[in-house]
Amino acid sequence: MRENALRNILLPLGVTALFIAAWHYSIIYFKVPNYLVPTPWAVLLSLKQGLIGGVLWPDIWATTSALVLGYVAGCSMALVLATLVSEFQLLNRAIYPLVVAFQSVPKVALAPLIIVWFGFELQSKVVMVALICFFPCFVNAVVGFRSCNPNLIDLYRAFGASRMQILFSVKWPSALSTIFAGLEISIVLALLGAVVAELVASRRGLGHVIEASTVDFNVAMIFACVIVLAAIGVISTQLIMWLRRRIAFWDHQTTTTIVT
Amino acid sequence: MPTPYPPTKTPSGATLSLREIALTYSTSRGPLPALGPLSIDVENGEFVAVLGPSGCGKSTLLKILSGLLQPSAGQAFLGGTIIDKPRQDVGIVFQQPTLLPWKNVRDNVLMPVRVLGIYSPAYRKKADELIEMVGLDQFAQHYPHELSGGMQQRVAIARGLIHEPKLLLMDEPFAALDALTREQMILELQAIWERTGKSVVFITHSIPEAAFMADRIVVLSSRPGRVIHIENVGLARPRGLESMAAPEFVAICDRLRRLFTVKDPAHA
Repeated sequence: MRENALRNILLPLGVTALFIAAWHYSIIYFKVPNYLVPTPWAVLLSLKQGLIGGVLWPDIWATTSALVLGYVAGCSMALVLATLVSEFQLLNRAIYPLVVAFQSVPKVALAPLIIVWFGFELQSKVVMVALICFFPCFVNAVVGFRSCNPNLIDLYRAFGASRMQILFSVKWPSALSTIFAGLEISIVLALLGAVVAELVASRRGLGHVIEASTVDFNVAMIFACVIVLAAIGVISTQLIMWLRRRIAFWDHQTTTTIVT
Repeated sequence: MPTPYPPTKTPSGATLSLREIALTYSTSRGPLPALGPLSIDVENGEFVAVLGPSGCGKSTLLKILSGLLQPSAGQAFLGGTIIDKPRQDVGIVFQQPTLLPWKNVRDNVLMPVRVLGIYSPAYRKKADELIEMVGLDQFAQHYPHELSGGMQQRVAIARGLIHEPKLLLMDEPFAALDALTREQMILELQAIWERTGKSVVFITHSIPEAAFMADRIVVLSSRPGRVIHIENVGLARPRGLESMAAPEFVAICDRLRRLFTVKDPAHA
């Protein structure tokens, strides 16, 4: 067990060290100019300047708040709509095909339009993130509600349970593990949405810093931003997975229905 | 010679009484008869097995008995009142344990009384007694995913009994278990039945299971399910595994098996 954990940490660390060494020496060997690829050391300096010097924190905060607000808004709307769709057959017929059709629209293409409508501030980023989060969460929740054991529902009905009771004490808990599968996909996409909105037009956020750094060829800062974004992505995904293990604790299997 | 089972009393004295029950589904191709018409009486405390081929409408019968489905003809009575809606005095055990994975064993057993809205602290004690009766007293705090299939099915049996039902409906409760566990569960169910004295309707595919458990075996034809034979099982109780080797047991099984090998059982 311990040895395994050690191997799980040491192996990726070793690969990373190898990668950085290869990066460092290939820049020297191939004489790559600094405005194309920065040295690992320059990236480290940019990271230090950004995180310890504090230059990046307002942008990290801007991106993270857009991420969290948009994620919560998009996923809660998805869950409410999925609940309604699975409860009312009429709504299901009316809405479900529309939602699926809308999913085939690449939402990134809507970014300029969203900025026209919601401006350059936080709102447009939140809307973008919410839009991108919505679908995986919605579809997985619908699948979860549908895959609820019909015998369990019969049993509750046989004991005179109301529709609300069945919804909240059978259907919702049954769907939880599938819902979490959707939430895990959504969080990854949410970060993408936030950065795209910032790249297109924004005055703050890590996407904006990347955009601004390309203008003055500060490639080291771009690399630093990408590393920070990766860290935000990893932390938020781990957080959702931790929540899943806490809340849907009975669901051991890793093979849950995942619909993207 | 063991004494034969006493003849059926008048329908009014029975716990469960089905009078010419039939169910016909209306489909786009016209009416599709699924069940009956059939009449069955189950005495108070009697163990009745319903034996039939796949698709004889056994699950439909179970839904009618639990009040989830209305028959299209005929009437079902339980304890003198007509079954026309879901009711409190029926317990159900499905083929799959059908437990709530997010609740521990005790809370799963208590589920019916909570849903019925009759929960009181006394039921907690009763739940623990039932859990002990099915041999899971060490596992009251465990969650279903920590139990084996046989243990989960025992939880389902305890849950079926928590609200003191008059009638316990069992829909192939051991069909999903392996053969060894199955044999053990049959013995345990017999012991539980003898202790609680409930009327049981036990739906099964298995001839030996039916012959071992039941006082009376009702044999249904294939769709639409009709009663084609009633077998009174006179074997002395309690029955041990050795009674499966008794000549009478073998004779009953043989008789039942012949019913299903005849080309058209409806005219046998």
